[in-house]
Amino acid sequence: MMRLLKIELHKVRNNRSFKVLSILYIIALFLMSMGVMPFLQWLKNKFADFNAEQIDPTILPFYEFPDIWQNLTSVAIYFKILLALGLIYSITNEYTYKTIRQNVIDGLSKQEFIWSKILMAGFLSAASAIALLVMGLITGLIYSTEISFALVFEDMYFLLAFFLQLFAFLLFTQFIATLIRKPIMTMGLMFLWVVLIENGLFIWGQVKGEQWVEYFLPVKSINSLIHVPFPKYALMEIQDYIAWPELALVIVYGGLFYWATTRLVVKRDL
Amino acid sequence: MDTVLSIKNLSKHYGRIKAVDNLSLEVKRGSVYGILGPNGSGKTTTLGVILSVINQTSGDFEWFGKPGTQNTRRKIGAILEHPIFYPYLTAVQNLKIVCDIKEVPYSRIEEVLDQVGLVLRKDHKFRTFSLGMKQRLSIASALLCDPDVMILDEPTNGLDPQGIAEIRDLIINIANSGKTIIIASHLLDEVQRVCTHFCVLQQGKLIHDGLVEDVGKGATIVEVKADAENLEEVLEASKMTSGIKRELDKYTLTMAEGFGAVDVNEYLFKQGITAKHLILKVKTLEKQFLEILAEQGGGQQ
Repeated sequence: MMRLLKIELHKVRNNRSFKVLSILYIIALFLMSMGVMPFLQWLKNKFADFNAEQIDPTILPFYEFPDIWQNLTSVAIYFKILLALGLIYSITNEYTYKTIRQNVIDGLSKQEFIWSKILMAGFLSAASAIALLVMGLITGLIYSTEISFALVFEDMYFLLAFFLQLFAFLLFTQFIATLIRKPIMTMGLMFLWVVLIENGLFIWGQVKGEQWVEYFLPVKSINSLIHVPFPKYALMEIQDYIAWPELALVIVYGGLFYWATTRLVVKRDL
Repeated sequence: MDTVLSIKNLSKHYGRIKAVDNLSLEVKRGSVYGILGPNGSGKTTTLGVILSVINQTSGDFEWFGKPGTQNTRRKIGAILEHPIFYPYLTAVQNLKIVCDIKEVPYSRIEEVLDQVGLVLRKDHKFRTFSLGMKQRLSIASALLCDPDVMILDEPTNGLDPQGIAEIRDLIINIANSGKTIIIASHLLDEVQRVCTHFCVLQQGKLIHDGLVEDVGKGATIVEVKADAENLEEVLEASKMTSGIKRELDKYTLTMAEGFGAVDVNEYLFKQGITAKHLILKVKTLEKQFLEILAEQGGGQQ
């Protein structure tokens, strides 16, 4: 397993597009984990300039334990697109350069090739979850009004759910990239699928009252594992936990895309 | 001699096109085996199947007496078609990936780069390499695991004469070290110089299989030139030949059983003709190859 990860790291380490995307991703995570409160501070000062001191956005408990975990993860998951782009390039490059063929000739099995990409996706997902953990702990300790052992750890399982969500989405990306084999067309199809087809079907389902439709939309299902918590600041009711059926659905989709990718690569002549 | 590779009844069909058609052959340890054939005769497809990048339609192949897996491929150094590497990585970075795949220590990299003469360019990106350097890098990569078997597909394709000579010397050196080499090529001269065995493929079928040293055997060919009007009639009257072909002022004789160049010389002199050009021709692989293809073409019609 370490061998496969090492091979993959050798491949991406000197790849410019991968480096740029990773740096953007890290910056995005950092800004989101550290920057919301300074931004609210700045807003407050602006309001003060307009003699509107009664509006104090800093009372928004964005970084309050234990809410911080759901808040961070539900926002951070939007940045997954940057990791997905990196993965698309890393997979489609193998087909454009035909290096997948040489890898197999040199002694990697097709299965091992897929695993090396999956391990990389898993590694990036785990690293993202750990980065959120560290940054969440720091900002949480700075801004939380009440700190206790129980409060800090209470909802930390959202990080695990976040890992799973990211990983399942990257498996989806791997499948599309393996299917299409061209970077731009892969991105095009993913955009089309996520924005038009899934949203279209979702809205159709809502209008017709056919709620079951959304369970057949993989990206929607993966995205909705962690519910957006912010309406609760407007005193609306939200789901502030992970529901088992939704979790199971994400795992099923992840497994399905893994299976489909394997079928594609094994059946195909390289 | 034990068998390194055996192919049994291998077929690969692309729709109605049979790229490889019921092919069986064996490669023995220590031989340098040339696979000949016109373009599109199924050479690369066959190599693709035995390297597991192309799924066969039917048939089997065995490496070292066992079905091929990724573990057997790790002991094989192979290049299919043109050299394939990551263009944005340097020579060393590319070879590190191959080392990790084949589980070979990185210390081998310096050795193989030295062997192919690429040490000076080792930290340059692959995309900056000339075609000759790319070919040499791919041979270096094939040598990394100190392979029992090397597979080279058109190794001198697209190279200038100097590059061809370099690669050929490299191949002969490797062959002398006792490795089994399989070369696919349509350059007959190349195969004749480096190979011990050869086979000929046409439209995916095996139409000949034999030793390179047997190529010269068979009917003797003699070329004659002389300043005599009636040379052709005189030669025909001799009854020593089984065929006479004229090319401008040169006559190519296919000698009948038991006659040679000496007999022609003696006979002509007795007839009052002095030959100004008399050469005993050794049959080349090229000639044999064309004959085999012609026989095959004749048989099909």
